[in-house]
Amino acid sequence: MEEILQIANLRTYFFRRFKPTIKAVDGVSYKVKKGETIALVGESGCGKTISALSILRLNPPTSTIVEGQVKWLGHDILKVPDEEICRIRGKDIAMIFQNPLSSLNPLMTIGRQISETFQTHHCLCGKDSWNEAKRMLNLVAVPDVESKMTAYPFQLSGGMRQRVMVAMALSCDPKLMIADEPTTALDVTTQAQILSLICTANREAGRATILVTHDLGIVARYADTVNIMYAGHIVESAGCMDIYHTPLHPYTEALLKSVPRIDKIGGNELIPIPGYPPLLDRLGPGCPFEARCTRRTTKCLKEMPPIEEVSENHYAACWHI
Amino acid sequence: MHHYIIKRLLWFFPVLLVTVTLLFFLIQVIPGDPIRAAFGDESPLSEEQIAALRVELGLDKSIMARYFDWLWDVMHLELGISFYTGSTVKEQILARTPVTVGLVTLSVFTMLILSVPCGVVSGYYHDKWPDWVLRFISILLISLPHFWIAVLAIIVMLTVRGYSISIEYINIFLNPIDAIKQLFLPAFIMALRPFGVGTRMVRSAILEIMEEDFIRTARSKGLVEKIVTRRHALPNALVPVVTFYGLETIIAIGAAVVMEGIFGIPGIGSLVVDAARSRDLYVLQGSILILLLFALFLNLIIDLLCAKLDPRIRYENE
Ligand SMILES: Nc1ncnc2c1ncn2[C@@H]1O[C@H](COP(=O)(O)OP(=O)(O)O)[C@@H](O)[C@H]1O
Ligand SMILES: [Mg+2]
Repeated sequence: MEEILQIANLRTYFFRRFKPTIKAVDGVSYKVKKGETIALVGESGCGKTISALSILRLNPPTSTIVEGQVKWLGHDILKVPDEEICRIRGKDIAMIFQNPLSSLNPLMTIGRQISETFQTHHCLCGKDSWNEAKRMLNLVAVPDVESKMTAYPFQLSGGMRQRVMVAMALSCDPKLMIADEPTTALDVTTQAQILSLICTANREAGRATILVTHDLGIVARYADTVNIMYAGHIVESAGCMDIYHTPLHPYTEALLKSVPRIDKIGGNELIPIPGYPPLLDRLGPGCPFEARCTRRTTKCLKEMPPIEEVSENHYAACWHI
Repeated sequence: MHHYIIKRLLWFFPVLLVTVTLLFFLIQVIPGDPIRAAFGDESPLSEEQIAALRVELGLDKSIMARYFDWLWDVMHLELGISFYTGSTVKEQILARTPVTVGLVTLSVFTMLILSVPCGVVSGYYHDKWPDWVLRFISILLISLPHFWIAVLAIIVMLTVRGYSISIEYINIFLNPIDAIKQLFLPAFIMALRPFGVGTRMVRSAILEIMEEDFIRTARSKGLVEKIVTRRHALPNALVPVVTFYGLETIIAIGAAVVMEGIFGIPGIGSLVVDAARSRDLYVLQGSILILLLFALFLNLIIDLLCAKLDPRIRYENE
């Protein structure tokens, strides 16, 4: 299938005065095919958000993209001028964020915030864009659209706010949606609704999705391809079934053992991963998982294993496979 | 919005009552007998004449009786007469109000013109040299007391330029240009500290807003930076900034009292100081009351403005 996004060797660092550099994203590469759902999985603080933001150059101003390519339909997003990237953002690639309350402008009505996207990309006038915004809210199943249009974000529930964010992201019918932990801030019942809303809408429209999450249950249900991230690196990448049934990297194995599985009869014994993820400003030259790994040898301490294709479309970065 | 306005206006009156009451009882605590203070120890008046004067001025009544008299008078905008000049307090206040209003307005205007652009520059170039320079100047201005700068300025003007403070005050309505020239130096000195604080305040407001998640959302929608700033960042930065400058205006009223004293400007401030010195009771009460009214009124304006800007304030408890 046709690849629409190719990320190669992306590195985003936080350079700090008098302190070691934080290597939040350190050599991430993956590809997104048309209509595909890619999951980006890893513990909190491993660089998922920063890597997702870097795709659209939305990484925090304190960070720098030091290296890499983000090829969108052949053009390198990291090199295009600012006006060009404004045409890609929201129109070709849309984003949904983790916290819907802080991600919406508190002083602007829901209606104005959604219609803004139409005004920007389709040059619609106020009235037309307002009607389009109403249509979007209907699409994401917001009840009582008329009154929600003139409401402010603080007057809505968490689930409704995230629906508004989804409506905003879907406005221009983008080809790729990046959803950064879209349900982490919501309660459990709402989580399922929002997630199925996002994934169903994208599947129906043949839209590719990058789904950032730390929840392996979500991954099993919706993802085609899974990228496992650890300390700024992708350590394993494979189809969803392969990840669950034949994990290659010791981190993926440990991660799967630490969560309840519904596919194992009688359940599984939960084993937490010992230790903590390493601090991203004190990484040595070796494998970042070395300290918590059961397979570690002296080689792991000295040299970072490259990510290699172990079997067809199944990549892993470990010296001991 | 009008729910909020009504609620806020209803609050204004109890606060006013408390203020007027506090003012009355605080003035009573000031030591010294007003009539003795007025005529000195070698009073030409006999004891009977003094007693008659007391009755005439209402000073013989009990404190509660005088308190209710005071409330009644305030409600009818009657503030009594001066022990010295015999003119009504209302007349004196009306004559001097434009001076203080002019001084405070000029000073607030100066601080706005200086600190808003400097704060924006400081935020825009944060941690680069323009920011360092402006932050150094800010700290310096915040740490220097303005009465000290005022005295220094007068000495420098006198020795270097041969400038002396004009005794005669120029009416701001009759001759605005000369009046502004006369008020400019004290207004500028009053504006120095808020200039320093304001620069830092605007800087941090800008820096904080630009880190907000909704700014990232606005960018992710494909808005160009100019619109992100104008439509999303500035309105959100405005609420704390409006509150800050509103409070600084109230503080400037206090600073005006000191400045008018130092520069001999015949405003409400020097009226307060003179009246306190000579125990001119009714003048003191009346002039402080008018300053407090200004402060309360400004507070009301700040609150209404913030409610206009921020729906979360407008719709609270609804
Ligand atoms: N604004 C920031 N300033 C400094 N460091 C940051 C900032 N945001 C993130 N980081 C660092 O980058 C790393 C990756 O963060 P992030 O991508 O947000 O992790 P997550 O996988 O939980 O989304 C974190 O460990 C943190 O140390
Ligand atoms: Mg995150």
